[in-house]
Amino acid sequence: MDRNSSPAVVITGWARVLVDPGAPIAPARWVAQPARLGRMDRLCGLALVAADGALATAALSPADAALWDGDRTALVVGTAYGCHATNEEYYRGVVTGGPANASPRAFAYTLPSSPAGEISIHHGVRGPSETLATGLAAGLEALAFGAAMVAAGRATRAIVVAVDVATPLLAKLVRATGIPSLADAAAAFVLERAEDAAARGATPRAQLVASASRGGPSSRALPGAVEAALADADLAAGALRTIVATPADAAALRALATNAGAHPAPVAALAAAAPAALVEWLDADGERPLPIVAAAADPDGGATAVILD
Amino acid sequence: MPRRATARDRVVVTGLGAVSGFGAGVEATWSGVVEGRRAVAARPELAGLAPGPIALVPTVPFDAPARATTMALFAAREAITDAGVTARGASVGVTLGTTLGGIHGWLRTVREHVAAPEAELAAPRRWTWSGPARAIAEELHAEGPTLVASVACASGNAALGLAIDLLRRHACDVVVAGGADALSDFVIAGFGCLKACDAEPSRPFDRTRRGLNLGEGAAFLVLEREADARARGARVRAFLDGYGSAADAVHMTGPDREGRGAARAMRAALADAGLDAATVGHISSHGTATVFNDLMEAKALALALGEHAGRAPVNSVKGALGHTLGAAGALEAVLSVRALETGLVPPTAGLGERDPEIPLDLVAGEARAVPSLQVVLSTSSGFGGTNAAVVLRRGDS
Repeated sequence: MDRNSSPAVVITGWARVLVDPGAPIAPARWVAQPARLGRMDRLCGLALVAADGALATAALSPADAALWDGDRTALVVGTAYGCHATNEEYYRGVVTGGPANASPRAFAYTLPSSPAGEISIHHGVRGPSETLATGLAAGLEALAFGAAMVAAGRATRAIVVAVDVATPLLAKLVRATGIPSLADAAAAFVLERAEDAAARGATPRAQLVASASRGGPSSRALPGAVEAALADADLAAGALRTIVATPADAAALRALATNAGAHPAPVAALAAAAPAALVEWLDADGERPLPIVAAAADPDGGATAVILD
Repeated sequence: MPRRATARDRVVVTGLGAVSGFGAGVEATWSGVVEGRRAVAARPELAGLAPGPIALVPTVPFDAPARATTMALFAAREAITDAGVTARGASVGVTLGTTLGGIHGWLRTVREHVAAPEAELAAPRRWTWSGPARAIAEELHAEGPTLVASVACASGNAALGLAIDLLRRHACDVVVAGGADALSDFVIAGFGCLKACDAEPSRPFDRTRRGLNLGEGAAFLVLEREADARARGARVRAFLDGYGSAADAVHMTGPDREGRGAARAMRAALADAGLDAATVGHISSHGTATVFNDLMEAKALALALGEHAGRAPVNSVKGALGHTLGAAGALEAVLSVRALETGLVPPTAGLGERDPEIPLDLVAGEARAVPSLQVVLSTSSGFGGTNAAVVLRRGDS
């Protein structure tokens, strides 16, 4: 296939929230401040704050009618454990008090797509809306899928959010998978066509050049996804300069990407781990060696890799 | 980034699988729906929980573990057998739409945690949204992309959209794509507390409709690029020509009363298919039987199809199957393929007195013969203002 047939997709906005469970998340400055952040659950709040921050970095505001086209803006959310915190709050009420004690307020947020709903309402995002919930790789899957939607012309711009929240029960359940502690985390990106970014004077920090996902055991899926993404990008593994991944995933790729340094992702951030590290990498001053691969595997199988240049 | 084929590859349906309140197998579901029967029924054993009739899958007991995974595995096996696909490995992907995934294992964990908060907990297997998809991938040795869409009640259609994009991008060669959701006290109590359910069998598009009935099930379609399917001599049961989604951006639990988001999704699906409104020969609607959804959908169809909205026969299968949540779009896609193959549009079970505010050509009473049927538009909408539509076209039948 001719990759030149697809428009180049670049990252023009990025932001992250990475805090201890329950810690304050409201930023000092908003593109569009919500009337009450406390009206929504914490998953939605984290996602909204991150999305707003990414718009700020991209110098985009829904209030700017000349630049903003809500109907042609896509929203893609990726999450591993989604609304489990609200699910637990809601279901504890049912278990302890019976169906008559079920809370309609809580039940309304028992969907992984709630963050997409809140962001779409708040910022007037009316284009394609997708929420991916495929485990720890879901954040990078969302990034890859957002880029694919822009490349395919389904939208002219995409807001991508990776988000997960911690609870004591979840901490107990994931401990067996080797995740020692959890954070509340969200990372967000604004993606657009390179030509559109140039036309509005934005300076892209990186281009998304390829991605791939693989199923099967993570020991095979992770290198498989990176190799497939490299093939898609017409790159040799030796060309990679940086691996953005959790320490365990980076170690598993060490034999493949021998010339690459590691930019460690915070495993406590779950599906937002590699995306949050990618935001940190984009934010860093000084030299940022390219190309890089951001990769994530799920202990239950499957992995996704995204290559930026 | 992700590349797009220079000459766009058409996506075809080569296999179908389903399980619903009518039982296991596509034909059990199709015959029940096309004959105008109802799988929804009162469940005295769930008195105090269920706010009205529901449609339970008869082959999977209500207290069985991993119910959604059991249903999903059945439907995926049926679909892959029907397609005659023997490929394994990285060429085969799985996409799943679900609102609840493998939640049953987690519900048990929460109950145990409530009873004994200090006790050690063993993590349930595959309890997140990806659980049923991982189980399918493992059983089919599918090591291509596994993607799970969870966009409320539009999830089933969203999974079909993900599959279209994977195939067009040549990310894999075969996708087992569909939806699955199973009922539990968690979700039944939730819809009950929202007062969204009718205490009687539901009546989509009826003037006296009062709400939905819940259902459960799973459905999968085997999707391939046409050239690959032809090369292996597969029967093309239908074309999956287009997908579109759009957000209402209005309200978290109620639809845009004017249907603008759903209309954008429908228009996007038709544009993706390269078809215009005049070609739509049947609309498989979301049709939940809530007052606002059905009215919204009529307005959306008018916005998206214009004068053609009143010409294509419309049905809702939710009066028969109940609202199967994340499985709904996939089940309706399977039934749409059967409609294209047989030229029969199933009736809307429960529809008696038409709502005068809904000027659609609704099919009620018995199936309508439409031998010339070529194109079906299937629509879904859900909480959070999500809307997704797919366009299916007649295959080799």
